[in-house]
Amino acid sequence: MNIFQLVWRNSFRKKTRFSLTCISVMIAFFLFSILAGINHALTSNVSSNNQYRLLTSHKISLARSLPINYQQKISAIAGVDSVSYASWFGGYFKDETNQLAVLAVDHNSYFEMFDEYDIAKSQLEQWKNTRTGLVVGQAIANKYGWTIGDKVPLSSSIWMNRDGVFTWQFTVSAIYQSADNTHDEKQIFFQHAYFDKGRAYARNTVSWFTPKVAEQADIDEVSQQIDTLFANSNGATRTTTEQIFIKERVQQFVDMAMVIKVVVIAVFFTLLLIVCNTMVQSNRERLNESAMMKALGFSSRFLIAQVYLESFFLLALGALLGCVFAQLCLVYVSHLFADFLPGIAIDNGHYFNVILLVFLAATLCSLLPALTLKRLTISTTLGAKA
Amino acid sequence: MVQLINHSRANVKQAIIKQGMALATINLKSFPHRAIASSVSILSIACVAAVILSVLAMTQGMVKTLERTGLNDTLIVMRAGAISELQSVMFPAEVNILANNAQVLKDSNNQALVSAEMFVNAEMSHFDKTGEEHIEKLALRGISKSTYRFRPNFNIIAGAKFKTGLRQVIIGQAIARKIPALTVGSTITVGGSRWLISGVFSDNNSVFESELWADIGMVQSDYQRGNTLQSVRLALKANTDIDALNKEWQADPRLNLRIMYEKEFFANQAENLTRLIRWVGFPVAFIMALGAMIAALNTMYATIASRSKEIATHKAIGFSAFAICFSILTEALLIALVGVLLGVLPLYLIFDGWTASTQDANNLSQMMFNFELTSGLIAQTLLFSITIGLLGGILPAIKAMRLPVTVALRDN
Repeated sequence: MNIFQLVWRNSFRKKTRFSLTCISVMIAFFLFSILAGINHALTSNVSSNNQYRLLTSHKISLARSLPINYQQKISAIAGVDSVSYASWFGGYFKDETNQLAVLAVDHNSYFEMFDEYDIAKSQLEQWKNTRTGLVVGQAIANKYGWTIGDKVPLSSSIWMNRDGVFTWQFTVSAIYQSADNTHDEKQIFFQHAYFDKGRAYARNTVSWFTPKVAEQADIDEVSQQIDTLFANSNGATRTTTEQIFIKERVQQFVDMAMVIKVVVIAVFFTLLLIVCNTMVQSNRERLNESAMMKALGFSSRFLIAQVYLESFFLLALGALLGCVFAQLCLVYVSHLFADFLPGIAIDNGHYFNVILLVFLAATLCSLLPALTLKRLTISTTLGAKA
Repeated sequence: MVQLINHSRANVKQAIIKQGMALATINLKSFPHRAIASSVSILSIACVAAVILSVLAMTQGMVKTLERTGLNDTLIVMRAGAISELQSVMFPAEVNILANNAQVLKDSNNQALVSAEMFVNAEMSHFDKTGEEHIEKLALRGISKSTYRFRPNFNIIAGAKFKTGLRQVIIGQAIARKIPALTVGSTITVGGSRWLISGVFSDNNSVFESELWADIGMVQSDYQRGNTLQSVRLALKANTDIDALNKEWQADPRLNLRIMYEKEFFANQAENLTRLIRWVGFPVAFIMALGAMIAALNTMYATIASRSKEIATHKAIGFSAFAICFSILTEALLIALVGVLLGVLPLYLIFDGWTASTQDANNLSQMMFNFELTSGLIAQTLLFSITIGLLGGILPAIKAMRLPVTVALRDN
């Protein structure tokens, strides 16, 4: 019988205790994985292709606009590759219960810069040539049953058009999918030119610019240059990288992220105690046996290795089950939360953390039993029995 | 013999309870010896209690704050489709049409009781004691004199109201509490310009206490909004049929509006604001409760295993199975109680009355609310945790009841 067989047999000696402890471990890792997924949605939202994109908005508030001619001024700055822009339309379909995320964007440059939206080439061309055209996310198209060519009226609670009404007429020209599933498919875009010509006020302004920086340029310096350029004007700007901008927008959840951290720490601390307790218990019950094994010539090191492997096996099994369950549940969770917290996913880094935690916890939990085994003297343990 | 049986029947209930109490006392006396082993279970219940209480307190804090906001008889009017004041734009011409309606109350000067308000969000920067700059996203409301008539609970608690035509603001007391650096007489930078804080106001702990209020004209010019505004509040005559009024205005080609009672409007916002905390918090607490239950189960099983001889002896000298079951459940209850205490007490001492803030996504600004640990919430937490403890104790108690005396006494 080798050490692994021993560990296997010992593990299942007390089935109730083993399974209960294992379920605790499973629950802890299940929670850890789910929360890691949520945390991912709260904090990152970052894909590799946008690290060169900046976002320049009005310094005072996102709700204020900037003059459209900033595009040329920003383009002239050394290190800026290209500049696109967008305006917030808000928008709803039929009534206020169907709120939509509608943006007016520069049709010449926007989708060249934001290549994470998958649009068929022919559809993109068609959209560029349709003044009232819409690019609609797949999810929205499915929800309302819109197909290409449909005439769709969308209303805004902010923007009145020149006819004095708040409902604008559009034509669906293209449908996009998200290239890597990191972006939601619930956005709607239309031509900024149509928006600007059509609206009754605030013409020739945009909500924000998105300058793209050359790969070799210093991002911080370019941001500063943009902001200094407009510093003393009425339209002072604030430029950040797109990542920081997104992070700031989800700052509302920062408290949440902290709460999650506290919960995870509390859960793991308790878990450690549970497993520790189990290991100490099972070790205490087996002291006679251990003494006997020592008497038979097994080294302390062998016995300690056995305890370590046992707690490792327990933790690893629980962690594995927990992660598998979490992965299964996450599909539902991300579906459920899709509306207000998109991007829930577990990245591979999380599994690295899990493995690390299993090793660490196994070490900590076998520490006490290891000490006992090391100090164990055959004569007293076996002799005391008399 | 028959008499004896009758006698024992009459006393059987009493005897069982007596036995149970006796055993429970013995258990409690020896509990400190097992306290360390039970600490696992105690700690996990403490964690669950703390999490569930925090979730409850946060949700309730937000809901209460919104419930205290708005009047029953005031109508709030925004642009059709707007789900928040921030997303609405209205023009003075529309306000006139609304104000001229026969159903709107008039004051002693025969002026319609109307409050046209501007609602924008402002990035405010301030410096703390160490000189570090903080940026807060707050709601800025541009108001006029008539606005105060729509805020019956409004009170200046420090300083004075702002002066019309000057860059002065009054700040809600929730903001003042959250950011102590903001005092009357100090200036803050809202957006590009500096504003003097002329006073601090209270408003029945409502949402308005998370806002900055300033002269509507100053805000309009600072935000280059011309004379547009965001929302209108109207006082209506008591007999007004709101549905008829709505129909009348919907039919008016000059208007394109959404109307609702102010109270209702703010109550609806609670749903959105508390969604994240409810959807994440409660499931997490539930899963943790499951874990705590298993920990309790584990602990109680271990307790019974280590005390099998003792329990068997009790049985042998005549304690009934019920008494043994009762004593084990008492211990489970004790563990749960200690756990709750350990979880709730620090929370109560540190966080009760704490002003927390959450980002209001619809308004792009912060909303402050009080983290109130009311006795009702604590009672709910207590009940929940005790249930977990008892559920964790039942199976082990049954096992102890069934423990065969001979085997347990012989077993080494």
